Amino acid sequence: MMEKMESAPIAGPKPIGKLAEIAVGAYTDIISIVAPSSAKYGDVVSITVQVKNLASYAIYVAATGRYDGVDIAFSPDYASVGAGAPYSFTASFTMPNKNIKLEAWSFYWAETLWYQDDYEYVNIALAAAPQPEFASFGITDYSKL
Amino acid sequence: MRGKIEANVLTEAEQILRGMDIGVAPPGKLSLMQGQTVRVTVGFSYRGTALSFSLRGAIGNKGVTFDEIAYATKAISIPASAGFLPYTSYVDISTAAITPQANLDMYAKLTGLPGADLFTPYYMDVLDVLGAPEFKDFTITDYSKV
Repeated sequence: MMEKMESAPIAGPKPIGKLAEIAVGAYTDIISIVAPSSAKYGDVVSITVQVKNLASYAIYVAATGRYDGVDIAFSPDYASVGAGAPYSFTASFTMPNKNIKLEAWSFYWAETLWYQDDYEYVNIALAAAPQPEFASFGITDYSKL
Repeated sequence: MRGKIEANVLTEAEQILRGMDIGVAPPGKLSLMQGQTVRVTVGFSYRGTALSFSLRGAIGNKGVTFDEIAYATKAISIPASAGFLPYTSYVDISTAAITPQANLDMYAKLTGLPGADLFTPYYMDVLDVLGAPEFKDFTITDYSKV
């Protein structure tokens, strides 16, 4: 059983895949990833990852994310979350010119390390850009210079 | 009626001689001297991705095809927009190469688009290009006591 957090972390976990040490736990649950199902190339995509503290006491919780090999930094970096409470982490990125799989990981802090805990993902489809369209093209005026 | 037409002709001639900048909206007629420049202004609305293309305005005679006598082009770049946004642009066409004549026609088109070129309607008989100022028969016609 994990002990209560003795010391606060100084920063959130590094992006997934770059952690020196990862353990699997069961203290957090990603209960939702709020993201659009599709976005156009170049759109700013805003996402929210909601993480619930499954422990019976407050713990430090953090989230990381990734799409198409690009790490996402969430805000805030981490948070102290009360027993059984959810917490929302937000981020945004620019939609690339392809469909993407947006992955998210939750972490909890124990003693001196961040531990990876839960994982979820959503797919975001690349929305077709509107076809160029003109209307009302005409000469409005001609004048002598 | 005749007096009104004559007054219009006189006013037009006076404007030409004074070199006034008169804007005309279609289907009105613009008269100018050969060698002067016509600014042709176009308007359109656009929605879609950012786009770069060319505007071409031409003066000539519309028959089965449009015989361009003079034209000008201009590069245009517009940003992406999800909804229709209005734009205006213009080209300046020199009439130096136009032999003086009346009832010239005009049109404009957008080229370099992802699809086919986009044409305005043809504007018929909207331009008169007059020759260089010229005097003749300059004589004293009468003298009297006043």
